[in-house]
Amino acid sequence: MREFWKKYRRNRGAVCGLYIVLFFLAMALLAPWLAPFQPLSIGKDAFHPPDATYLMGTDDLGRDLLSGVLWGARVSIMVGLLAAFTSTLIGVIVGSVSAYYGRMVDDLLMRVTEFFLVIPRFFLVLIIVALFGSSIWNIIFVIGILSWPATARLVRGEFLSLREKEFVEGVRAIGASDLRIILRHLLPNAGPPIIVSGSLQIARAILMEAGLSFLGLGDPNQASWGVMLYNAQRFLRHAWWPATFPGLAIFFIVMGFNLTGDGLNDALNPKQKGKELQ
Amino acid sequence: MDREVTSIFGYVVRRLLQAIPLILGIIVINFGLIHLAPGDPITTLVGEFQVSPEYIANIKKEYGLDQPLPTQLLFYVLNILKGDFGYSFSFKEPVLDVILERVPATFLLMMGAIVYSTLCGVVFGVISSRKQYSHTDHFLTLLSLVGYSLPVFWLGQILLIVLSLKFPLFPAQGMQNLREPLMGMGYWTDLLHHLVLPSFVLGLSYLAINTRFTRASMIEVMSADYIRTARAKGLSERIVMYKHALRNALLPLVTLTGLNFGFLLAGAVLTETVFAWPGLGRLMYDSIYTRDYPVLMGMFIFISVGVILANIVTDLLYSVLDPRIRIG
Repeated sequence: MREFWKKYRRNRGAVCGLYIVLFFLAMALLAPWLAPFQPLSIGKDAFHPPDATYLMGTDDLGRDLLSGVLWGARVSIMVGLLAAFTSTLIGVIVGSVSAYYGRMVDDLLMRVTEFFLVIPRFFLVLIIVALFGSSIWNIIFVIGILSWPATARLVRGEFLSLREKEFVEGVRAIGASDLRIILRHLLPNAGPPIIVSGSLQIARAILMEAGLSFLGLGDPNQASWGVMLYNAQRFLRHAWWPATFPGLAIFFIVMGFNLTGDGLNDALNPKQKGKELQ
Repeated sequence: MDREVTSIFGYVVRRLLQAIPLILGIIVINFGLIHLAPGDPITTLVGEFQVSPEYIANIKKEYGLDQPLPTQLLFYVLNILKGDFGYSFSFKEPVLDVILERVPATFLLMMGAIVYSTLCGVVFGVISSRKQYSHTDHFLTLLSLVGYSLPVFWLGQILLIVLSLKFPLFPAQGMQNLREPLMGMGYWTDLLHHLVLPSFVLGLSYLAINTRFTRASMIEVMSADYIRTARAKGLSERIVMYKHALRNALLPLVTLTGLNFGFLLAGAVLTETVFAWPGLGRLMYDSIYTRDYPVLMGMFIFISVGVILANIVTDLLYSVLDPRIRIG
């Protein structure tokens, strides 16, 4: 762990990214105490420019934007973490089963994976949310269950090379069960790339939720940055602040997770240093 | 040459055949969604509009809704293959017509974005790789990081506020000046003027990706054996760079652009929403607003097929450009 941190610290961008992520995490946790107003409560003062009372101004319904931005960190981080977790879990299961059992199973699962890699994900998520309703849980669930193919491919690749290693043959000779080999021996060794791809998935999930919300498919009962930008779009001529601050927040949190992901990649997979995770 | 043409033809046919199950899969997903969606399938097939009972009876017959599910699926697939994507009540037109009308605008926007992001990305990437770890390199790396993390719609909003509303350098909305429509040359310059901001916004993240990619690719290629050979022959650094290295470094860029086609389309939808660009994205936004499900479902099929075809074209282009990839 200490060695890992030593390596991680060498990348200045990565450290910066980690601080950004921690900053937003703190914001999400402390939102109820930090926010001066209720984020969704309608006020009398619409389009109040930023000043001492309303640091980021108010929107078309007189809602305080600072409070919205603070509470929005909760929504974004929740979407990012839960969606990335779901997709990583599915990806790991599909990838490991595919690689471990090979042959027919592998063929079938990889066909399915390729299919889900080809279809334009954003649009599938979009119509599902449009049809099934745009509650935040729906959005998280749909992003999560549709974002696994890249992870599945990655895990499969890792497992295929690990499977041939002697230590695996060794534990199999002792009589370890398939499940035990996968969970105790293969998965931990494939951990680093999975962690890296997971952290980049968080950034993508956050961007996707923001994009959906911007098209009018956000959860209106949540203070979501994307929903705030959607509301701001109609009034760009009247006020610049409702669009500026929530967008800035999305930009920084996404950059934070991207930088952290790159940093983890450099620290955990030194061989791949400098290569794109495309 | 003749043999090459037939082999390419065979390759195209093979790739198209492989695309058939994918397209069927997409239609099946659509069908599944129609039946799984809350409420009854009629709502999804018609959209949330008040329609006459005769029309509903008609829809029931057309999609065989009183038949068992497998028969219904067959009806649905056949309807789609006939090009019947349903009828849009908000536009009072068949869905396919509504979609096709919007394609040229989106295509134009995407072309603008692809052309500038590829050209500039390659130039930036080469500069970055030539001066590795210099200030310029660090600056360009930072710039591409920023470009990669910016939400495209927010960038659009900010540029619109600054460059169209505060300092009216560019038009804020649409594709052409509707107040005084221009003819001839003026029409095109006006169109170009409207195109600048949206395509800049849409292309920025690809500019970032292309820069990073070209940089990495150039650094890798420059250490290859044949580059050393070329240098050993006494060729000038310029020729080695541009005739030997760049060509090989850029080949994978074709694949990258093809792979990103779907993401680019998603970005186009968001960009169009900001700038009221009259393409597929604007259509999507309006259809979400009016709950015009047939248009949304039709667009999903249309866009998916477009992405699959774009992938085929990319692979084909790649195999033509790179003789090392043998096809046949």
